[in-house]
Amino acid sequence: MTRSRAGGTDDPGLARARTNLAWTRTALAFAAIGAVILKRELAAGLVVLVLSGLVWIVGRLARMPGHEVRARPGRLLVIAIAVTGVSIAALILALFGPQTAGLRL
Amino acid sequence: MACVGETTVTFVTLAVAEAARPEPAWDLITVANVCPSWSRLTRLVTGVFALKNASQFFVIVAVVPELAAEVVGLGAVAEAEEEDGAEFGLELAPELEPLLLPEQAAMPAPSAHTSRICWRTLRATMQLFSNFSPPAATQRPPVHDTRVRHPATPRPRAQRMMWGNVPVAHYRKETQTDASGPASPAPPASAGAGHEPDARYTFANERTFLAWIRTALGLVAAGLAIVQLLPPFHGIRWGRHAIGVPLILLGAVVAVCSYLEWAANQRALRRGEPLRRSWLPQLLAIVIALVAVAAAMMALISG
Repeated sequence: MTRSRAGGTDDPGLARARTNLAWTRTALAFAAIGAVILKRELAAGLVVLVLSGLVWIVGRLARMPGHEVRARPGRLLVIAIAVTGVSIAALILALFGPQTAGLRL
Repeated sequence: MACVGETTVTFVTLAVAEAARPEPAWDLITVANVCPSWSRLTRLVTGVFALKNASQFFVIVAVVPELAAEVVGLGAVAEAEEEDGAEFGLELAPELEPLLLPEQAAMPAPSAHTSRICWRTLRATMQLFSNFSPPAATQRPPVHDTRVRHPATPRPRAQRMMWGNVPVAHYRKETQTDASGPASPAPPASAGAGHEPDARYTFANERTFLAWIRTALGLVAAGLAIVQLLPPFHGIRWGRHAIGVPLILLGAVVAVCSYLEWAANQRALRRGEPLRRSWLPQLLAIVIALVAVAAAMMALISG
């Protein structure tokens, strides 16, 4: 494994791969919850699905090999705001959405 | 009546041992083997060892003619290194100095470079038993020979050891100027806004943030599924909302707080400060436990 030096400009080895996988899992989580919302609210579900693609692209672009490794608060802030927005949308849907009888197992 | 028998006599057995081989060396060896009281002292008295040592010495001198010149060259190197040692406080104990020349003369010396290595190794070994005080970091001469461990570059295992009166770890910290860099990069010391931390730390902090984001998404999905997909509790109209809405709210809180924690951790990494303790796990555990208890109670009440 390549050893990085202080300053964050070298290849940190597998840390980059693990971070890319973490971004991918986050995008999949977005897609899963988007599919759940899509079942009840088409517009909100589509928005969340688009957000999942956006998360995946952000993760890939920010961590391309050869780029300088440094903190990017703006992109992470966008992700946090997106999740908060999804939470608010889910809360609105839960409180004011149509009441259903639920799944009968 | 006469008895007739056959007897075989071997002349070798009855012959005089010294007469078996006419050479003087064989004669001496034969006598040594015959006489039971022949000892090392007897051989020394009779001159066997003297002859042996002398013959070996002449053979060595004949085969390796440059040995004498090498010994003379080693003497010059020794004088030069003693001058360096005196400059950096590398004084040898007087009683150990006579051991240097026999050590060099006893070793085969194919080249002057190897002799220099042996000399340094021997001197480093002897300094362990003498009063040695390490020189200052700025006075340390550069080490070009990588096959010899200089006294000022001890092994990594020796970080817990003492070198003279100075801890080795402290000494390494002062003299760590080689091109290989630190073995494990540490966050820089606090200096204003700080420096960019090691890339692995940045990645790890980011992965932690993403893990919390996924947790928040999971909470939101669970809350929404409870409200929308779970069958209603009998007799409890807002039962599903009482379970699902706290989870959705917790997801929003976790999403916001995870970003704040990421920023605080990144700032601490840049400044070399210790990371502060996160209270998100406690919050998560408490809320989920309360929701689980509420769900169990509602399930029991509704039958």
